[in-house]
Amino acid sequence: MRKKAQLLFMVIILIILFIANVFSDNNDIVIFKSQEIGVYNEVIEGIKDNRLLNDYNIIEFSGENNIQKISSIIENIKNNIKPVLIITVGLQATVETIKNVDDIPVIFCGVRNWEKFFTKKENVTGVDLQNNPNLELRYMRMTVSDMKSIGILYNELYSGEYIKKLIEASKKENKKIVARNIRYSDNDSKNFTRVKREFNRIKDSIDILYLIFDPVVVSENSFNWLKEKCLENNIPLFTYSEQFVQEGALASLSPNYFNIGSQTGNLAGRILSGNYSPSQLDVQIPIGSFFAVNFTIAEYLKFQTNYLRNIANRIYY
Amino acid sequence: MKFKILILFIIIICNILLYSSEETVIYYYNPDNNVPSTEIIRHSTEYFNSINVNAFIQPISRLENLTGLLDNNQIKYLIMSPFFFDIINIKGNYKQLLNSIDAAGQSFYYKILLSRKNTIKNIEEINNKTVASISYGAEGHKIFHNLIFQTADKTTSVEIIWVRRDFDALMGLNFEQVDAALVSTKSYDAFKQQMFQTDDDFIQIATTGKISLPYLYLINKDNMSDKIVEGFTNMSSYAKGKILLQVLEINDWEKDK
Repeated sequence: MRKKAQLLFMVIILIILFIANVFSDNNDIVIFKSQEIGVYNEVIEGIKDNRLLNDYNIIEFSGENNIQKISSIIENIKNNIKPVLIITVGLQATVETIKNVDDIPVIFCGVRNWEKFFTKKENVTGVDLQNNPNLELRYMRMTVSDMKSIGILYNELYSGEYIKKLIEASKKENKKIVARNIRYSDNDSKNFTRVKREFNRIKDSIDILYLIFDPVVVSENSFNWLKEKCLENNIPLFTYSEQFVQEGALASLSPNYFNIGSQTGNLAGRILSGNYSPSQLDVQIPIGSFFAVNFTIAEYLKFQTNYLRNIANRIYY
Repeated sequence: MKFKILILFIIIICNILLYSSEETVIYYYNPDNNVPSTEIIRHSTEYFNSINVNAFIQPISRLENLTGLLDNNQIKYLIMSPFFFDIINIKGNYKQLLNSIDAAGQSFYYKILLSRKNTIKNIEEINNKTVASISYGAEGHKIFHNLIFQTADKTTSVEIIWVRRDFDALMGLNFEQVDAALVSTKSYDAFKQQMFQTDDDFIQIATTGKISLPYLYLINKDNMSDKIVEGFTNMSSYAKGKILLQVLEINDWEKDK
């Protein structure tokens, strides 16, 4: 009974603090990015396209990828600026802000696998960096129209949850996922050996290899080796990073940072309108994507490329 | 004296040669084009080089960047739909040189507001719903309202998620991330074809008025290069020109009627 009363009291205090922030005279919104990189600026461009934010004074900070600087920015935000809302862009800025700020609404974006780094508090919402698995399958099917089975190498601890979602999505699309767990070793060469072994086991039973973001599987060596082996075996290599397409993978699907910024701006608009609190807003899945294709590889694999020109966000040769 | 005249003559010739070798930038603003900007630069450079014209087409992604260039008198040739001339207030003179047409010979297209079946039935139900639309930059809300609410209640309020491309808006609608999507009919047809969707999945709840396909404009200048204009009018006669037309998502150019 006493615990319940304490809990109720805390919730009331949080609500009061939240309302006080939203309706205070302070007109500042802080956009706090972990570091100065191009994609984060694209997020910010998307955020600023929301006209509801035009009435606010937007203050931007960059943590310059330095934890001490990030901590001092958070102290400054908390003690001096006291904004009505904080938008964080990137992992470090997000994790440290969420850890240290309880009484100001926080909207995060630009964080992959966010559930591994923090739990969603009452004052927090955001936009995920992980694409919708159904969307990924659609783009794979669009690139390789006759694909039936998709090969994936992954580490259960790091990517197990995502693989479950992908398998669930593949049922709707009537596709088969051939997934192989790469057990983790702190010795990179052992991980690489396992990648080679598992690829050789599945290569004859897959129509496409999907290289997902998994630090146990992906390294410079493993990418270069997989790229060569895929070409040797006429297997299209689909990845999560545009950089790999530039270096010889067939295609990639990555988040569209501008769209993510626009979604973040909309969440901010909803909270600032006073109609929603962050706790009422789920973390959103990114809308759309950034699709890159390597036409040289596509032609080598004898794919029709013309129709991809109107679908791709970027084309490499 | 003769030597001085010769030197002067050489200087004049050099200046003429230098001027004529300057690369002409033809600016292009068309947020409804789905082709990557790099493709437009690449194929326009290849085409104009193939006909010995030193020019290329430079896409502009945001309307405010275009207005900035226009304000600074930095644009001579511009490809853009006249629809946007009503939105941005262009200072000075401009002349319509050519207009573009599609495969059916039409010089306009439509955008449609789509929803999933059994969610929004008509435009009156759009109030307080979330709509995905291509980003038009700072003038986005004005453009969106001009496109959709010419006749509907001006007080209608929608939450807009700005996206980079029509495909993103359609994907957002397909995966129930938004309530509606404003896209061009051309993008919707491509989406149905590539994503194996059928007309049964979505419902069309509104259609915009006619939007003109892009025009080629001469901005604030009296003299135009015949070679540039001929490069456009003859584009469909060359293999590289045909590829460029595909990339610009049009079929041909014709003299403005």
